[in-house]
Amino acid sequence: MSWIAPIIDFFTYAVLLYTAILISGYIFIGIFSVGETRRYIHKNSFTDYRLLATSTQVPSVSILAPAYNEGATIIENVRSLLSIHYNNLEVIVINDGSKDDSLEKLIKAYDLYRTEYFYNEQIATKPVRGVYRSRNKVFRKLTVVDKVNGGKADALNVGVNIARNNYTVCIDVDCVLEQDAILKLAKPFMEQTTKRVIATGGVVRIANSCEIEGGRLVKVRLPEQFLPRVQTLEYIRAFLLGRMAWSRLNGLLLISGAFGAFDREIVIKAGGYNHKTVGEDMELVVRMRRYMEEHKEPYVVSFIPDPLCWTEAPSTYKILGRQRNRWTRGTIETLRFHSVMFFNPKYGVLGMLSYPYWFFFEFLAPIVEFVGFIVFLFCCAFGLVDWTFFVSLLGFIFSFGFLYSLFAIFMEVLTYNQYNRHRDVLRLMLTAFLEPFLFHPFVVWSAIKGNIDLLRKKNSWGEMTRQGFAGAKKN
Amino acid sequence: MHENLIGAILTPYIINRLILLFTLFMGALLLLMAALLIFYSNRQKLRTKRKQLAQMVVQKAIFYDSSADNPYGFYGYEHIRDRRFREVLVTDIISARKNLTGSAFIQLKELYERLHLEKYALRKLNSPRWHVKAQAIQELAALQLEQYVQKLSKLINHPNELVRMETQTALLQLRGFEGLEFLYQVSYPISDWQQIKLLHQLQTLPPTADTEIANWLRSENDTVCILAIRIIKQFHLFQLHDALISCLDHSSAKVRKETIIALKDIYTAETGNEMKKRYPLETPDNQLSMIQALQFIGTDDDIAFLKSNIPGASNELKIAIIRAIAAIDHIELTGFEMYEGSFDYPLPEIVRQIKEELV
Repeated sequence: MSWIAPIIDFFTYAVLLYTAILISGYIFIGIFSVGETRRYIHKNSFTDYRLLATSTQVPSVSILAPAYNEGATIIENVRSLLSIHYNNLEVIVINDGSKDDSLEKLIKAYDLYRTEYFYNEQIATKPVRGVYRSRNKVFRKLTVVDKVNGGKADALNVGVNIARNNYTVCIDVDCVLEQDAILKLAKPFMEQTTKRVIATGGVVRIANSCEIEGGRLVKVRLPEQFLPRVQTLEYIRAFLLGRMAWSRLNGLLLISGAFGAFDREIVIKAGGYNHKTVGEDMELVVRMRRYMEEHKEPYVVSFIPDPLCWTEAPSTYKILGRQRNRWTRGTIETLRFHSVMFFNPKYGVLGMLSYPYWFFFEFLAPIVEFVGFIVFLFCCAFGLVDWTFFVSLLGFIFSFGFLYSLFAIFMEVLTYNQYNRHRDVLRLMLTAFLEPFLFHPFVVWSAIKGNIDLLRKKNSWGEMTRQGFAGAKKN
Repeated sequence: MHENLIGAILTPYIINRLILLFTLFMGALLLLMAALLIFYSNRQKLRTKRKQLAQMVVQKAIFYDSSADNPYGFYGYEHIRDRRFREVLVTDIISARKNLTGSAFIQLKELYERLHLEKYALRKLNSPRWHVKAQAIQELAALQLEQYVQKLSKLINHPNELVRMETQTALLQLRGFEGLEFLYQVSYPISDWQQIKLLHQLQTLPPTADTEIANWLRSENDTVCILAIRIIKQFHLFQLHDALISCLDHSSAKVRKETIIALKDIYTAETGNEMKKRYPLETPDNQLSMIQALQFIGTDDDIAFLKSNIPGASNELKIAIIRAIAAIDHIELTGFEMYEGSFDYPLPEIVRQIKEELV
């Protein structure tokens, strides 16, 4: 068996090197994000958002909310969108061929009538069946579009075509927005003088167990169930550390599909949302950036750390698995569509840093982990494991992961402090401790399944059953 | 393990020791963080206490006789050496200032001066930290300390954007319209966000001499030019119409667009013709803005021009043109079918949409 030893050696050192680079990356992201968050918070303390709320000079914004079989909650959700504080606003709800009574409910609740409307199809979409507006002046901001089912990307493209304003804010209709969310999201578009801001993202938080009344968030609570709670931690880590650091580098590749603002002109020029991928949110940002790079136009993709949007996280392993499977497929598809940028200096930070990072540490990481586990089982079977080495390495990885989560919790407490009870902070810490055992292996497995599904050309969205905010805890 | 080059240098023994060291280091960091979290939580409690005290100080200053029961005249004087208390107090004073005028403001200013907060503000003004400097600028302006105008003017081209913004805002607060003289010196662009702030501050003040504004229209800094255009629009300075028209020939498309938008409000019988003359030379975006302006200022004489621009126009432009025609003369729209080529897609659909909009 002498041939096995060099292979195992090679594998061990390759994984060690990969881990070292990954950990260095995380340390860099953690440290680098601090400066950006500090800068934002200091700067924000000088901002009077009341001024923006009353100004007529603010950029015009169209909220696009695609809805498919959302009949149970759509009236409340639309009411919540209509109550957002912003001057130049229109709300476009796109009924993506729902099989339930969503449209009928909207027509009745908002006194809608079908208008004569020329549909200017700047991005190709499935046919539009009708455009509806309200007879009631109170709902003059609202437009409802009924279309043939074509998926989320297609529905958003219809919204982009219909929108009359310069910026589009794409949200999931079942998300709850903070009242000042659009004000905060619009501000970066007004701040840049030398570069064009093509997109802005905001922090998405987990709404499970929060108190929600009349489509508005009344009280923030840490989720009671383990799965939503661990996702709360995951979101804090991703948004407060990861995205802030990438934003500082102007290397953001992803603005969450649940909540993001885009320059409509660039969206149209870049070709709109791609309906051939299940990761249409990431794909659009990458394509818009690619468009700007190829046209040599200076641009920025901005990100703000304020918690602006609250969404319900999967609370069962089954639904979570579907979600992560889809995210994996979306990532791989996006990377495949834009493979020309891989280590291509023509694309600057995008080609030399963002794309390779996503390739090596978002796409490959679960594969490396999974293969590593298989090799470990093989080594165990052949008695090739240096147990001292293994235990130390495991301890190192575990403690680093725990430390990183703890750092994210620390940043959260120092900045927005949404879960401000000591008990909640301790529960978050405990969740961070349990995450490597009860959550992370499942996420890796879901990602592997995503890879397999993609190879088998399975491209379904994966049904996302939600409990709805009606089930949220109330005092 | 197999001996190779890497293995010879990085032996499992060394790796194990390194890993153990890192693990211990992380454990120590973990404890430190837990301690910091507790410390931060306690600090929050202290902050709440300071906040309550500061609110009491401000309320006493506004509502009570300030010199009655304290040798220094103000409750809370003994806490003023506490930096954190000062920060909270100044924030409260500034926030109260936004809602106060007249004698209540004078009381507040007196409180500020007698607690020697000005001295600390000047110290902050010299801070290398930009947000501290910006706070000091905001503080001096909110308290109307006009004696520092000279000092603040030197910061107009500060490398930090927020310091520049707060300086500009402060100068307006202290000097009114005259404060806009900084527009002659400013070398950095003024963002749209900052322009919203400045225009908001200006809205209650009487506008400055027209010659000044006309000069800013000729600034080499495009954003200064845009701000001047927005001032003309905000104050409806019709006397500057001709100066505004000259901006239609500006080299920057953004300045030209802003001019077109302003001309929608500041127009004469000749404005439409001036726009039409330049229409073929404009960018598609500015052409759209011109058509949208003609929707409001156009006359029957412009209908032929509008119709002539339908062939070859983008759908977005076609919608704007038909909408403009309808706004000028909706009867013209009724007879629109007579227009040659009007039955080509998508004009019938657009006409139907616009007709419904008119109802």
